[in-house]
Amino acid sequence: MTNPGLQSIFTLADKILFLFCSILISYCYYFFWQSTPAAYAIIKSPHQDTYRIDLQTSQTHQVKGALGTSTIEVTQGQVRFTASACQNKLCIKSGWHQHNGAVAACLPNRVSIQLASTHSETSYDAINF
Amino acid sequence: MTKRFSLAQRLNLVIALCSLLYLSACSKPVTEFHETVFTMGTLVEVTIVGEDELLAEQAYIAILDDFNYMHNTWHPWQRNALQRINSLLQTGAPFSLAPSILPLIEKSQVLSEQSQGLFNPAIGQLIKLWGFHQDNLDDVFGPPEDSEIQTFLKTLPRMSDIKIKNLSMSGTNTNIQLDFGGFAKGVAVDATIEHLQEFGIKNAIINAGGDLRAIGQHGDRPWRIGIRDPRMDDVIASVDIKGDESVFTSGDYERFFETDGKRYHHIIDPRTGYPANKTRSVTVIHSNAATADAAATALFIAGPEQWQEIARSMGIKYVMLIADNGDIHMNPAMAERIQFVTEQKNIMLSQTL
Repeated sequence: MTNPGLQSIFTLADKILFLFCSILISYCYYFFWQSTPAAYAIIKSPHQDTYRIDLQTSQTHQVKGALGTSTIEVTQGQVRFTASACQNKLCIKSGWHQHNGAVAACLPNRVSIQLASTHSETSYDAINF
Repeated sequence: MTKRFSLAQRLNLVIALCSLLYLSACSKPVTEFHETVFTMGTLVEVTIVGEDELLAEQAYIAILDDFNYMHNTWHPWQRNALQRINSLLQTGAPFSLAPSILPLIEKSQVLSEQSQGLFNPAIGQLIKLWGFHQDNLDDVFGPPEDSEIQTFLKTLPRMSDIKIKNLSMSGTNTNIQLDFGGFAKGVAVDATIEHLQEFGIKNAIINAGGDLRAIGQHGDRPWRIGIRDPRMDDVIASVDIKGDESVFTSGDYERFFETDGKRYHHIIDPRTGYPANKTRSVTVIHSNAATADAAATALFIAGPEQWQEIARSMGIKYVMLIADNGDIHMNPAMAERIQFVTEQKNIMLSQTL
């Protein structure tokens, strides 16, 4: 049963306006005020052109670097090095990366992964570590 | 009684609606120039926003030259000007000032004294003894003999052992070997930010392997910096930067080797000769990148018991220290600025610095 008091206070135009405001606030919250995960990664190496990979599609990439090949795995919005021609393997030990603004790199092999999002306003501008 | 909204009330609703639209408009993307380059032994990210693309490109190319020059001149274990200075300091004889190294020596002498010797770039021999003077730490098969460390500590070199007089300098300790390590990165970040400013650039970040200085802001909002958890593959907290500030972190996860299941990292305590073992990471915010860099190292070594004393003597106002047991120590000013991604229950607030 509807509240007769409310029915008498709000006109149809008021109700439409409230509905519109609610939708607008939800839209702004989703697209501008929420922290969103990275959407794609930019892969750079000295022997290949820079390219993007979608983080929502599980995939494995072989990237030719200064020393040899680095293997990059993508799954469920995350990316990591799983193999690399470097000796220390610090790139592999750094684990998964999923935040906008994060950068992972194999320094000896000169292969880098930069995470980014289509909603750059909600991301980190840089990651400190 | 039937009551309907008056015209004024409806107008208020429309104004509120317009305000929301205005807020959305504030978040419009700004022009952003973003490049990464391998230099200074790390990956350097340069972000410039709100500037003409050609100007940003020109400024970027200019600072690449700066980075390459500083990398080649200050590298701790390659044949370069620093190696020559190290050889001459060990002779004890006076020699002509080296303009390419002098600013680092003078600045680090001040910072070393303020840190009560915990930041000590004169212990290059000890760093080398631990095997950290090489890119590949897989060739390090274990820590040095304790007797070697104790022998070195008997004549521990300090930055004050370098005497500068008129146009010459000399060393008074034959064990001096300068290794500016990460400090060179801080100085390089300062120099390149200043170079960007000379180009008229007002909004930029230079992030050298996770340590950064940010000027201006990103469009209508402050720069948003994520701070990585020292033990997890994730961001632990974030901090907003507006104006001109540096965020530097020293951690035990950056350079290390493992022997018999034990990890030995690269931040050596000059008092013991061994890696400092009471801290996982220290994050410092300061206007000057070189100072932030030196302070992060000194406070890491100082550990949970002494960090406040050293922070005060170095003039540091924002510190977060994650201790070896996972406790998060910070001063109230830092606590006001930092936003944790998840709730942290083990926060230990210090007195005001």
